[in-house]
Amino acid sequence: MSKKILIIDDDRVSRSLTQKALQAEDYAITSVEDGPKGVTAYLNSLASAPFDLIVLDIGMKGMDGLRVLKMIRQEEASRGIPGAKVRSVPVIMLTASVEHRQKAFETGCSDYMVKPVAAGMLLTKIRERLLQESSPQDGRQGQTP
Amino acid sequence: MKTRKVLIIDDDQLTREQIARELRRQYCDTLMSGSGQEGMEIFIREDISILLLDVKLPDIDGLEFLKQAKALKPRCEVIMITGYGSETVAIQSLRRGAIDYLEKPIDFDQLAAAIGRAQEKLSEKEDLLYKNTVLLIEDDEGALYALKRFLEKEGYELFTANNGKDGLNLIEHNKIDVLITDINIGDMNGIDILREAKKLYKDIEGIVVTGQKDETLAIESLRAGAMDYLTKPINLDELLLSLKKVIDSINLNRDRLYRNRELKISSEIIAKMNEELERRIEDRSRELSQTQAQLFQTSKLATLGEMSAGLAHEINQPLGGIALICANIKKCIERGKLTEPMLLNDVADIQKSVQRMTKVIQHMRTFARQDTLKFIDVDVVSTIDSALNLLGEQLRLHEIDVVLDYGADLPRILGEPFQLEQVWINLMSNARDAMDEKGSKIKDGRLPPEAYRKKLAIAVSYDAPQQCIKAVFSDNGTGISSEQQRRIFEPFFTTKEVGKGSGLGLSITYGIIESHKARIELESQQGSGATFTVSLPVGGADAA
Repeated sequence: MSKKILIIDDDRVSRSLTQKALQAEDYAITSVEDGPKGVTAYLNSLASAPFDLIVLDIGMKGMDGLRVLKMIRQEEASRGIPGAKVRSVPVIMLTASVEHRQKAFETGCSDYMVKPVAAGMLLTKIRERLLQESSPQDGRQGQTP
Repeated sequence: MKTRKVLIIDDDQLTREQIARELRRQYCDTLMSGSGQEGMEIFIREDISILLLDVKLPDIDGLEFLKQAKALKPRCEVIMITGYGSETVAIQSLRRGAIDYLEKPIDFDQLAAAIGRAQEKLSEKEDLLYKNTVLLIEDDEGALYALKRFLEKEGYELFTANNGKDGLNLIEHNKIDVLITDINIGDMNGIDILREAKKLYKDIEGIVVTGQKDETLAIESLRAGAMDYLTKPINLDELLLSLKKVIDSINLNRDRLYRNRELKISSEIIAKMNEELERRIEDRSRELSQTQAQLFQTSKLATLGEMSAGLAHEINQPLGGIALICANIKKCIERGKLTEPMLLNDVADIQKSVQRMTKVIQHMRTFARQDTLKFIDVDVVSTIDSALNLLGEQLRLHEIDVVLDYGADLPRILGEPFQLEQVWINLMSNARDAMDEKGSKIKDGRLPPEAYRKKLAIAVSYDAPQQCIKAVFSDNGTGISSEQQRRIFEPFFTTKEVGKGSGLGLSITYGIIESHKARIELESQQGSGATFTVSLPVGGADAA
């Protein structure tokens, strides 16, 4: 089965670029244009087939990426009984500036890229992440308890 | 928006009322009638766009009504109402031009799809623009009025309410495409209104207006089924964009629904046609197998006629012998020379002749009887011998040399002895005819003269690798052209003169061979004879 990826980005151009970059691989892509919709898509997916990876833009109008990430990690924590199946989903954050870097890792992102994003680079990171996902013994970096 | 006149003809009042209610919600002008007679009068008098017609009316047959209606007003779309499980009638009515059918009890999603498709088809014809309907629920009258005017200018059909209860009431009685509601309405929560609306009609889509920084509520409304949310103060461009997105999605869904229904109807028609086709094929094959059984019998009788010459000889010979013995005994008695051993010897001879005749007659009897197939353990050579018993004398009269070559220790096969015998008789009679023809052609100069000696070789052997008995019949008659070879096993194909052959021999042979899971092969060159090889599987029909 192809991996499910959620893209949350309020910039239409950037969103479609990311989507294009991922088209080379056989991913099932869902893309939404703001934070609340991203969180809703994430929450709705938990009931059936959760996303394998999320690409999240930080600088969004209204609800920004950091708050989205925070809600996702909170949800995971509330469900995260030790040893249970719900694992935290890898989130790759995209941003226009480097200044959010520290904040992003503190909030619990798995990786971080500065826009403009090189398609090949993004794809490599996603592949890497998904590969790590399928081999369970690794520890996840940048994850807050 | 132009309303369309819809006529419902159904003798069941409850069904009529139910449909009428749904139709009014879809802004149709609804007329009703309980009888075919009255219905037809209304149909002729009024400008009816959509007709919902019960198949079973007390006074007129629904299908007949449909035919008349379509003839009177071809533009009118007809939806048939059928009883549960009467697909045959449904399919018939679709073939006669109805656009859809509904099964009782009426399913409302189906009804909506059917009406929708009918409307769509009518709009195609009339080139009418369908206005999407929007319901605004907002407790601030000023904002409500401004938004209403703005959206109406943009080409939407607007409904408004300033509280949840009125809003839901509107939703219940009108077909609303999009619900735009404020999150905070005096009496109800916007999310609850949306949930209730979704309960009433699944196909309604919602946009919820939340306050700024109210992401939690936005997420909650999205999870409650809203397609989008807007934050206050409302940006009109965003509103239009969002509305357009929702309408696009509605149209997509609706389109998918209609096409699915069309697909379902088409596949049902195809399934029905398939069924019919299968039934017809079954009928045909049954007829065919009956005919074949008859033909088999006919051909057997024909062979019987052909064999009567041989039969006369077979019986005449022992009869002659008996006559001779009798005359001899009489002479001996007259001369007083009759001795007991001589008499015993003569009586034994008579007995032998009688046995011989009995055997022949018994054989004829079993042969002429129409047997059902009984596969038994059988020796191929013995069936060829019995065939020769019947036909041998004839072959001799036609001056044909028969050369037999039977292999040693042949395994037995499972088969029907009399049918196999029939195969051999057919092959031998064909060889006889072919050689006779060649003989007469040489005689009257149509073929170059040569010393022609008719010869039929019959060889039986066991083919170990293929596990079958091979019976080979070769003659040196006229042979068979490649054109004829292709058609030779077809029924009624014959090259013999009229009245000489039925053209059935080989096709029956082929049938018998098939039932034995055996194969028949033909090798021939025009002018130099033909060789038929029959391969019978050892272990019989079951093993193959």
